[in-house]
Formats: sequence, structure tokens, C-alpha cells
Amino acid sequence: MLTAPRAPAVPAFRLMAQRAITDRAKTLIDGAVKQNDLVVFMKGTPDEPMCGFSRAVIQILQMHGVDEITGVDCLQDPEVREGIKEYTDWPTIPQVYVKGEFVGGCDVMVQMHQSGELHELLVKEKILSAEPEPELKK
Amino acid sequence: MLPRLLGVAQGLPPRLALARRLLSACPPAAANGEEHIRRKLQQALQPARLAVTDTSGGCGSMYVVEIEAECFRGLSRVKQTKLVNGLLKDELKAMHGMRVLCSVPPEKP
Repeated sequence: MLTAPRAPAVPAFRLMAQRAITDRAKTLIDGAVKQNDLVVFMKGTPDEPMCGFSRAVIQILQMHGVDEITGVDCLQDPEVREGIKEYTDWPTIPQVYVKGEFVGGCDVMVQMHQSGELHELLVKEKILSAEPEPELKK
Repeated sequence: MLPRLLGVAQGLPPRLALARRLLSACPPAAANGEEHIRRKLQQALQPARLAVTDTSGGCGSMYVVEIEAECFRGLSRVKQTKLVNGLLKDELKAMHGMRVLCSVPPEKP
């Protein structure tokens, strides 16, 4: 009778590989989320977005007066590009994090911009220091 | 070369055959895709308003879902969208992207 050969470490890793996120990507994403008050996982950079949805998110943030936006260019790193989808359990890029919390993708940002929620959030989380309040609420 | 072969096979002039192939490939699938997604969301979330549109030009790679449902009340936008994404997990794999616009019905007085 033949004894089954001992399973090497590789197949176990392959099983894990069904999950899209690698340890390396998780560390990178975790770091970016925790070290920045606001970070955008996007295609391209804030100065040069490579996708209309990423561009829209950057433009909305700039419109609200967020001057320095930290972006993580997912096109530069396939592991982060796939990993961020699982990390957030959100199927698309861009993704915006504020103070470690996922805020939304492009559509959510547009809706929050239109409703005034985004301004509220940015002030509450002190991303915007003062409050040059454009909308009157009394 | 390829269109010509196909045209000959079907007894059509090459250009016509190619045109027919291009025209017939997308629309039926797109219509089914919209309907399939619409039905799935209708059943699961019983929305007050629901519109599903294929915006990829008819190939099922990009959809816009506009949905207004009572069950979204009290949930954050992210949670609302995740409800929809979760129901369409399998469908999403075959798409390039999907835009989801959720809203809550106006409260009745």
C-alpha cells in the first residue's frame, strides 16, 4: 500500500489564493488606511487620474476644499488592485477611506456631495479645518 | 478572410454576414441581463422604484441600478449598496462595473 506523499506547503497556499488578497497587499492597504486621515484607492494619481470614476472622486474632494489628497494607484500594483476589493468587500475602484472607515465609491461620494453629507463628514472628521459653510441649515 | 469564409458558409455576401453577426450578438443578451437583474432585485428587496439599465452599449459589461426601497431606511449608503452588490455577486464577476444609486422612499405623513 502506498502512503500519500506529504502535502507540501504550496497547495495550501494555492487554496488560500482563491481569496484575492495577499498578506503583502493587506499590509500595504492597512498601512495606507491607518496612516492617512483620508486616502483614495484609485486608478492613476490625484494629479493624473486614469479613469473617469477616480477623476470624479478627486474632483468632488477638491471642490470641497480638500487640498492634499493621498491616493494609492491600484494600477501600479495588481495585488492591491484585487486586494482592495476584498479588503473592503466592495467590487469596484475608487474607494475612499476617512479616518480608517470606508466612506464609499464614486456613486456614494456623488450622492453624499449632493445631499450635503460629505461636507458634514469632512468637517466632523476634521479633514476640513474651518467651516466656510456654503449651505445654510437652520 | 474570416468574415469572407463565414459569408460563404451562410450564402451571404461577406459584409452582410459580418454585420449580421455584430448586430445580433449583443442586444438579446443585454435585454436578458437587465431583466434578470431587475427580477432578482425586485424579488429580494421589493423596491418602490427600480430601473436597471445596461450602459455598456448592449454587451452587459456595465449597468446602472437605480433603486428606491423601504428596506434601505436607516442604513448607511455603503450598507445599502452592499445589499445590492451582495445579491448580484455572481453577476458582478462578468461585468466591468456596476453603478448603484440607492434611495429611501419619502416618508409618508
